[in-house]
Amino acid sequence: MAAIGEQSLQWFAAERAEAVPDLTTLVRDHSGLLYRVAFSVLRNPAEAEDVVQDIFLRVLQRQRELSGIIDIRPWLVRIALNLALDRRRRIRPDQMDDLFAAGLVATGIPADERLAEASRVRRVLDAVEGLPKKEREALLLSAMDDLSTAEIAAVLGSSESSVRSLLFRARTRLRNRLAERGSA
Amino acid sequence: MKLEHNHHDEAVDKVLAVLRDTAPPEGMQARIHQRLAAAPTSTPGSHWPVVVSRWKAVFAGSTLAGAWARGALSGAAVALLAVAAVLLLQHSSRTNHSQVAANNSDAPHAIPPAATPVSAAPIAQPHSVPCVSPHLLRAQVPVSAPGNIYRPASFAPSHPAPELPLTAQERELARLAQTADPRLLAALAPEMQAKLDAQETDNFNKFFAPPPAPPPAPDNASPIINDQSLTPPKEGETL
Repeated sequence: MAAIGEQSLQWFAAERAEAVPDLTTLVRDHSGLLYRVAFSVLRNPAEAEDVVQDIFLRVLQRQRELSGIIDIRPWLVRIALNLALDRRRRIRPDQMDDLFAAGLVATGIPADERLAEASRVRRVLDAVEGLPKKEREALLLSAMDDLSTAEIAAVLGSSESSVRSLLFRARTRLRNRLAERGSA
Repeated sequence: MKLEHNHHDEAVDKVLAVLRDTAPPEGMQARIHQRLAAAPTSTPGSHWPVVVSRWKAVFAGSTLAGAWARGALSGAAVALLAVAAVLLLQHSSRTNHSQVAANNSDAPHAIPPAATPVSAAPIAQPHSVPCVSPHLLRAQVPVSAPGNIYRPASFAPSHPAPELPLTAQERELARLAQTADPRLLAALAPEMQAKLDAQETDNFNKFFAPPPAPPPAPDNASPIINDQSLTPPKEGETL
């Protein structure tokens, strides 16, 4: 009886070793994508890196549950999105948007043009922040080339067609708001 | 207008491209590994979470093997519940029968007082009766609780009989006590009645008593009647 139990445990352990990827492999393969997802929400490098570390800490704590996860990448992205949104409530990313917008502007242009360009980037960021939650998440995830529409749908818990619809509405809404603010 | 829209789309694409092309800071993976190494991990060698997750996967899956496993486990659980219910019913009925027998056998010999619950003698007997499942005997049945024990009618606590209705005389007395004259009612008291009886007896004796003797005459005006003169003369004796 004990031999049977030991054999079954060895079988479980062997199957788990085959199914569950190593944590080092997970960090190597997905940390860059998770960092970009967190950065797109937070726009703060230090906070985004903290989010990535928290993600893998949670993975370490739930390592035994990984065998039940069919597709691990949308699962990780979902965790990154949730953690980043949680952290975003504590910090104020709009304070970082000025630095972020200034960093986007090329340095070889005159100062007045740089100010105008930074102001325009800031308006785009404000318009993105003003989008509805689902549309904003779909837009930010669509910016990641690594993620397909099916993966975005898996992250958001909706269908691919609804993701496309969300993207279309987000683009239209952004365009209209930027046109209103540009004319104002 | 369309040119303006294209201009805005370009701005949005530029911002999104910057977000997409953001590179993680150098050494981030190393810092992640350091933090993971410093984090406490779960105890190694514990296989139960693996087994549990494996069974979770079996139940969550929609494969034929998963369906078979679900059906088999459900059937086994139902069978176990049915067997447990049958064993409990048998045990409870057997315990009741043995307690009834014990109580009936003890009833003629010694009937405990009604106020006290059933004594320990008839209760200790069911524990010696073999049971279907021996482990059920380990359960401590609260035998001292009076509500949990079957008791025959002879052991039941006695209660006074309900009051009978009043007789005609009692009803008349009650009516008199409410409506009669207080002096008449006072005469019904035993002391008063005894006093009245004594007074009546005195009156009776006084009425039928002999009259008192008259007082004697002071001179000889009247002949003295001697006792001897009243007595008749004897034979041969002359006056």
